[in-house]
This record gives sequence, C-alpha cells and structure tokens, in this order.
Amino acid sequence: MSSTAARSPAAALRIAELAGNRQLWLRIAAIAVGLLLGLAYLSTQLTPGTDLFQTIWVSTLGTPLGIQQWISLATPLILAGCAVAVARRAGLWNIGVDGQLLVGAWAATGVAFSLPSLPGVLLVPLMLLASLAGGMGWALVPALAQAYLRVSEVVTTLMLNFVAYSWTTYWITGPWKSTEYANVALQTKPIPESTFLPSFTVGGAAIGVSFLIAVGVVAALWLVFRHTHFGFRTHVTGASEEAGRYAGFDTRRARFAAMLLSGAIAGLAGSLVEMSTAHSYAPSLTDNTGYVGIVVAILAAGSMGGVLATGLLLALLQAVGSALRIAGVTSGVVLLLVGLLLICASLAAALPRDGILRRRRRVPPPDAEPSPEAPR
Amino acid sequence: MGAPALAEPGLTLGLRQIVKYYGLFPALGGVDFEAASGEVHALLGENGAGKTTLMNVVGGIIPADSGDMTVRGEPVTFHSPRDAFNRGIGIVHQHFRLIEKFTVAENVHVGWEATPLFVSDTGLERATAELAAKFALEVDPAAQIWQLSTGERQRVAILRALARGAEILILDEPTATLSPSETAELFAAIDRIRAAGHTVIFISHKLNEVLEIADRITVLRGGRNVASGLAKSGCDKDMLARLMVGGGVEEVRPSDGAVRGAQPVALTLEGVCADDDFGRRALHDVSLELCKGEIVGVAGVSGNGQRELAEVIVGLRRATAGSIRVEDRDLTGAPPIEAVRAGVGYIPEDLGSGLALEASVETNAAIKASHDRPLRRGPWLTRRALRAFSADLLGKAGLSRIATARPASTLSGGQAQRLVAHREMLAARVGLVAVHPTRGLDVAAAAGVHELLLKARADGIAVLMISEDLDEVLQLTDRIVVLYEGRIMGSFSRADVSRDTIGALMGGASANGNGNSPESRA
Repeated sequence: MSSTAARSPAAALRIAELAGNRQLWLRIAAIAVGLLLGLAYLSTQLTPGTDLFQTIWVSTLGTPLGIQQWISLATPLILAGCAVAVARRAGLWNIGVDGQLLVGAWAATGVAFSLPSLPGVLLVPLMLLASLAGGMGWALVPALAQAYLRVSEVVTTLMLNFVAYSWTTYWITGPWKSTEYANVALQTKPIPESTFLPSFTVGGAAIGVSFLIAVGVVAALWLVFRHTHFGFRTHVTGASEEAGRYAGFDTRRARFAAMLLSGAIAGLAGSLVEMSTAHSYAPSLTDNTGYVGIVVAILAAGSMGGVLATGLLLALLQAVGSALRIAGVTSGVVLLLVGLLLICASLAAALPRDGILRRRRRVPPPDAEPSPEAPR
Repeated sequence: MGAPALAEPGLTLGLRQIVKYYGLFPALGGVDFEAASGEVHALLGENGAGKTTLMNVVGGIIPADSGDMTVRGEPVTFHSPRDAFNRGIGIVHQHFRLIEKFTVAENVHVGWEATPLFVSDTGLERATAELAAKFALEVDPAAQIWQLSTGERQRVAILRALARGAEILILDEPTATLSPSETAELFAAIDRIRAAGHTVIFISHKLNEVLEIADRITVLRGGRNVASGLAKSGCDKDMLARLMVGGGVEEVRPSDGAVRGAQPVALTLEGVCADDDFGRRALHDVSLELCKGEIVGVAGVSGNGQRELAEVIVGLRRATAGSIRVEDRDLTGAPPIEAVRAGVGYIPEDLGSGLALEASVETNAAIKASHDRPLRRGPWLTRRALRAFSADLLGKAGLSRIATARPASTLSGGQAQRLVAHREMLAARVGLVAVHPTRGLDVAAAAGVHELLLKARADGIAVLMISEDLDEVLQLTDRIVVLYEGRIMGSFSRADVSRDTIGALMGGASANGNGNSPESRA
C-alpha cells in the first residue's frame, strides 16, 4: 500500500497544503506590515546630520559584533518563547517565566558555589540539571493548583514572579553577599571560570554554545509535539479539555506535565544566560525575558519552529532598541514596534476567522447544487 | 414593481424570483413563495436548501440580490430587520435571543416604542398574561428567562413577536429542541395563531410535523423551488422526502429475527446511581443489559438522566452506586480510557464535547485510535499511520474532500456529526452509546446515521441509542426502555409496544398494570 504511485499524490497534496497555508503567509505578511509601520515611524524621527539607519545597521546585522549581540539576546528569548509555547499547547498561560528563570539560575549558582572545585565537565551538566529542576520546582505549585484545584495559573505564576525577585535579592544581599561587587551592582561574585560556556567564531562573530542549546531545545520540542503521544495528548487537551477527557486522555496529568516542562525550560534559560554572558547571579539575568517570551510565543502561533524565528526577530528589535538609545532616540520605540507586531499578528489571526478574507472559491455541498430539472 | 400579479385577495406575503449569492455560491437561485392570512405554510428542505436564507431575506436580515417582494399586495424593499418588523413580519429564530436575567413580561415588552416609558411590573405582567392566554402560550410572566425550559423560552419568543403586532410569523425549525409534549403544545398555539387570521411560516425538515401542522407546503432543494404551495391533502411523507432529497430515501429498518438471549451480554448496568453536575441524584438504581447485535433505545424527554446515563457508561461520570461491566471487565469507577480500551464508542449529545474544535480535522479523526498501534508505538506517535487512518476515516464518512489541516470548528454541523459517528463506529468494537445521533440532521444525513447504527448491530455490536425522537426509537431498536426522572420505567420489545404506551411512560405514567414489561428489571 506504500507504493510510490499511491504515495506521490499524497505527498504532492501535503506540499500544496503547506504552500497554501494561508494562516502562515498571512502571519508573515502581518509581521512584515508591522515592521514597515515601525520603520515608517522611525523615519519620522530622523534628524539631519545623524544617520539613524546606519547606526541601527552597524549595531545589529551589519557587523560581526552586532550579530554576536543579536544572537546572545536571542538565546533567552527563544527559550522563554518555548516555555510559554509549551504551556500554550496544554491551553495554559505561563506568565511566570521570569520567576522560574531566576530560580533556575539560583539553583545552578548554588551548585556552582557549593562545588567550586569540581571540574567544568562535571559542574556544567550539574548546573544545567539544577536549573531545569529549579525552574520546574518554581512551577510546581501553580501546576498542582491548576491541574487539581482549578486555580488559574495566570494569577499564581505571575504572583510567584514577585516572590522570585525577592528571593533573588535575599540571596544576593544575604548568604551570597559579595564584598567586592556589592557596591557595583546587585550581583554575586562570579561563578567559577570553569563553568563559563564557550563560544565559537563564525565570520568574526562569537556564537555561544548556549544558542546551540536553545536551538536544540526547539528541535526537541518540535519532535515531542509532532512525534510523541505525549505531545498529541497535550495538544488535544489544550484544544479542548473536554474532548481530551472524552478521548480517554488523563487531561489533568497532561496539563500538569506541560506546566512542569514549561518551568524547566524557563529555568534552563536562567542558567544559560548566567553561564554564557552574565557569569554571576543577579536579578538582571532577566530583562523582562518572560514577558517578551509571551510575545514570542503569540507571534509564533504555537509553532515551535516559529518560536525560533520570532525569538530572533524580537532579539533584533531589542538590539535596535539599544542602538537607538545610543543614538539618542527613545528606546520606547521598540515597545511601539512590538505593539505594532502584536496588533498586526492578532488581526491576521482574526481576519480569516471572521470571514473577511475567507476563500471565495467555496465548494457547495453536494445537496446544494442547483438542480436543472427543478420546475421554475 | 411587477407586483400586481401577486396582489390576490388574502395574500399577505409574496416572493418572486428571489436570488441571493454568497460569493459565487447561489444560496437562492430564483425562489418563489407566497402565503395567505390564516394559513400555516411550511417551508421544507434539507440543511443547506436555502430555507433560512430565504427567511432572512423576508425578515430584512440580509438583502436579496434580486427579486420582488410584496406584503399585503404592496411592493416592499427591506433594508433592516426593523423595516420588516414595521410591516408586521416577526421571526422566531432557533436561538431565541432573550435576556436571561429579565422576566418574561420584560422580555416581551423591552425595546419596543409602544411600551410606555413608565410602567409597573404588574401592568406588564398582566398584558403578557392576557396575550399568552389568547394564543394558548402559557408561561409565567413573572419568571426570569433562565428559570424556563426550552419550550417555555420559545413561547416567550413567539409572544414577543405577537406582542409587537406580527401578522406574519416565521418559525425557524421550532421543534428542533422540543420534547414531544412541548411540540404538541406548540402546535396547539399555532392553531390559535392561525385561527386569529395570522400567517405562520413553518420552517422544518421533519416530514411528520409538516404534514401535521401545515396547510400548504413549499419544498426547496439547492436554493430552488421543487414544489410550491402544495395542498397538504395531496402530499404524503414519501413524496415529500423524494422532493426534498431528489430521489427517494429508504427508511432503514433492522431486519427482524434478532433473537434476544442468543447472543452473549456485552454491557451490563446493575443498580447504577449517579449525580448530575449540581450534585443532585440524576440516575436511580438503573439496571440494563445489552446483548451483542441488538439496539436498545432509551426513550425519554431530555433532562431525565440521559446524559448522565451515557456518561456513566463511558466513564466520564462516576457512578455513586452500582456496577458497570463491559463483557467481562468491571468498569465501575474506571477512567474514560478503560471504556475506550474495552471497545465502547460514544456519540455524545453535544458534538463540542466529542471534538476538539481548535484542533485539526486530522487530529480529531485520530483521537480515539491514537491509544494503540499502529498510531502509537510506545511513547511515539506514527504520523504516517495517523494520516492514513484519518484519510481512511474521512473517506468512510464521505468527507474526503475536506482539507485535513483545517480546524474542526470549520466543519458544518452535519459534517461534524458524520465525522464523530464514523470515528465512534470504528472505536466501538463491543458497544456503542449514541445520544441524539441525528438531532439537527436532515433526512439524508439522518438516514446515513441510521444505516451506520444498523451496520453496527449487524456487526454484533451492542448499541444503546438514547433519543427523544420516538419515531427514530421505534424505527431502529430491538428493545425500548423508558427513562423518566432517572429511573427506568419499563423495558419492552419493539414488536409488542405501542407508541402510546411509550409516550405515556415518557410523561411519567406508571408502567404497572399494562402487563407489557416482562423484562423490566428496575
């Protein structure tokens, strides 16, 4: 039954379906429109004598250093986007990525500070595992509460962010108080140098291993949600818990597991930022990463591959924001850009549903075909 | 314009050559229709035949692309529902559009300039009660809408239209959600309205009801008239069915000769009790045995424990007492997966609970089969097998032209019903629980589902069919039990039970004394 003759039309159909995926094209078009509107606004900010676009170009895609910064900004955003997208698959909102990220990094830091003499080969994996567990632990209470007591995870995860900020400050100003760095910034002493994640150079730009790990997480999640039964269960449960229960899935467990997985990924983002760029534990490990992650996931519309693309896009916008600040233009422009993107993407999602752009060439149901023999 | 031809005496509504396109799709391809005062004119047709579109044109809700309309001989063009309403046209939609937190009297009078600015509750209620009495539409004027049954809400919607002086009353599928007794009451009210000289346009696809209530019948198919203004006396069910679907629909019936007891028992309920969503006892000591290859019908007015009975069998609701067995497996208190594993299919009352509407058609087709090989191998999901399974199922359900990637929410009601029915047929290796499996389907689609249930029976599957439609129950089943207030009132073989007996039990009459329930175990 799997003869090529039988399969090739099916394959052709799949390709046609993908190319004709109007949702995808519409979304890409919407993001492009949002960017163009943002650029149009930016061009009104041009003052004679300064070349704003030149500044932006140099500090982002135009130079190896720009690319390096872009990629390093993208790493946590991609992971945060993954964390939110995983929860979305189960129909949940994880607003607590920031908190889980900080607690994940805290756990990794704790491992590093307690076993400083361990060689990096052992310490790095231990720290990564600790951060996964830390993020997962921080998501545990919201996960239990939403799965078994039906407490809205939006509220619990959001509120736990504030607890996590305080938790971070407590450790930095308390047990892990650093005498040399305390006056410079709110941060601990550096983690052992053996745990700094390496980077490799591509065309002059240093790309961190952390970015590769983030890409690996995206690939793994794609595999999970495309090719495992767990992914299928979670997806059906997220689309309709009632239908999931009806199909015989343990929907509570699916929701619970998705929330834990989401927290673990958020925790991993924390340790990766710390080990690749920050090199010490600090509240500044997150720069509203969790909230931007929500935008990343929304723009990606639940697609894991999409998270990679939109994570890179929003990192680019953040890099543009820094460049603008240097050029003396308010960095609030970046928020404006993000807002425009969200509005355009939401419109793109709503248009076909509300029939404005619905395909005209509709196939009439067989019973609705005008019958020629009908007496007039 | 060219209206004089229609201005016959007594003619209140005339439509000529009404055309309406949706995009390139002709919903109405030149429809003629007329109705006189003091008549009930039925508009008959399958889903998608254009009945509702035509009435939306009459009601001013959508404009026609071309065609003429006259009301009492005067040519009219409606730009909004208000224009239609000012001409005395009132529509009672399938969804009544009432305000839940308002009383009946308030709903009847709200938003209408003839209601005085300052008015007492009792005044409104008195006016409502008088109107209700006049048309035999009994309903408590002081009750709030959320407290009312579907039938009572419909009465309020009709009263609201009549209170505003509607002389042409359009009822869109008015019996779709009514119980048999509520339908009888509605028909009594329609008689009164007709006697008062109003015009009633009765939209339906139920042949029996049309033949019962209508004076004349117009049949639409594919947006065109296939018959216009037929006098009821010249019609029979068979002829109307043929007109509706083009070519006769054979009424499927089980072949006789299923000998009860010859087959092993597939599904057993013993003394099952269960609560409804509000913790009230919904099933009392229900005992039931289903053999392989038989269809048992559960007759009863909706809300008498049907949903709870179905859910308790498939594990979606916990039995508070008693036991449930499928073949040799004890499923009492087991999660839904156990019923799936045991081979029990379930066509739920509300399709939304059997479909994940946001997920794709392909995903929805596979949810039941995803538990086992070849779709699932250990933790893995074999996409190719899933795709093949879904394509096969859609083919069987006659949906092979549907793009599998689109969300299930884009399916029409009939398509969704076919998808669920065929999926559950595959899942049903031992038993099938079907709740209102043909509700809202047109004649051809309903016949398709009936054939499917009979095929299940022929394949040796025990089918429990829960339905409010007594005709359907009497037509298909081998055995009938009546559920009333969560109790089984009697169990009958189809051959030796009358419609009246069942009807009386559905209304709560005691089964004692008719000596007709040798198998009653409750």
